[in-house]
Amino acid sequence: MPQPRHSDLRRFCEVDGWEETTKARRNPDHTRYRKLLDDGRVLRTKVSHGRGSIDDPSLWKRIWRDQLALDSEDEFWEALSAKRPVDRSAAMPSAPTGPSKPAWLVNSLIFTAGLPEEEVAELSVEEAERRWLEFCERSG
Amino acid sequence: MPAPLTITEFRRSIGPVFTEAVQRHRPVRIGRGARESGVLFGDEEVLALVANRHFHPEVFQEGEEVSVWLPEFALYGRGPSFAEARDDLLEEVREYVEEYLGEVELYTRAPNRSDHFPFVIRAWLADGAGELADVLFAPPADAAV
Repeated sequence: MPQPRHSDLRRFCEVDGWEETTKARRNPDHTRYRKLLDDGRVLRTKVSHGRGSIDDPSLWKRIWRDQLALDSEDEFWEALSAKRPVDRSAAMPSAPTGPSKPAWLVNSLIFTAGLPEEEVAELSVEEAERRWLEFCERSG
Repeated sequence: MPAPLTITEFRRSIGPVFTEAVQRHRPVRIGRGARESGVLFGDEEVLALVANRHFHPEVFQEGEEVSVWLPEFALYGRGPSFAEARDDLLEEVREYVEEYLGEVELYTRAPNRSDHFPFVIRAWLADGAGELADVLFAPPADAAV
């Protein structure tokens, strides 16, 4: 896989919908870009004005992984060739949805009342509360 | 536990309150109305709170260029020498700290940035004391000197 030139990184930011920020006033040798993702993540990177490339594979890996939030280097080149933004919707696990139980209640039923975890998993919140109250009454 | 100062009391005695926090090292809690409150700390106490946040920059040599990657902020500096890459990184950190604190609500809510906050405070205070490079490039405690 080729090492990206600074111009590739700049083109990636344009294709992927990054905003050029105006805050890079301390260092005029770079353009700074930022992207706000729907899941709340804030991505930042900078692109040198020079014509060179990012030669070090280890640094480049950190850039695509930690700054561009890509799952693989391929995503970078695919976005450039397809001229399409990267789909990061699956990049971060979303919070679990559906009914939940209070963790203290699950913890108490398993570790204090001694119920098997599989049994607790099957209980509704109301049933779990009732089982906990029954245990407390029995225990005095 | 001492009750928080009201904002009116704070305004009336701002000098002594500052002395209490900074010179006597006693945090002062200040309240406004029933719901809002804040705490005034001296720099030393804030530094103590974030003292266990350490930076772990890594150096990469790429041909004629040197890069220094700072994993805690996902930032890097580059230059033809380590000294220049280091200076570039210091400027990157200053810009990031300024941006972070300028848009603190956005950054502290961002899932990939919220845990930067204590590091941002550490870097901010270190820079104010002229010690940013010392803090970023401090050897680990167990390193032989």
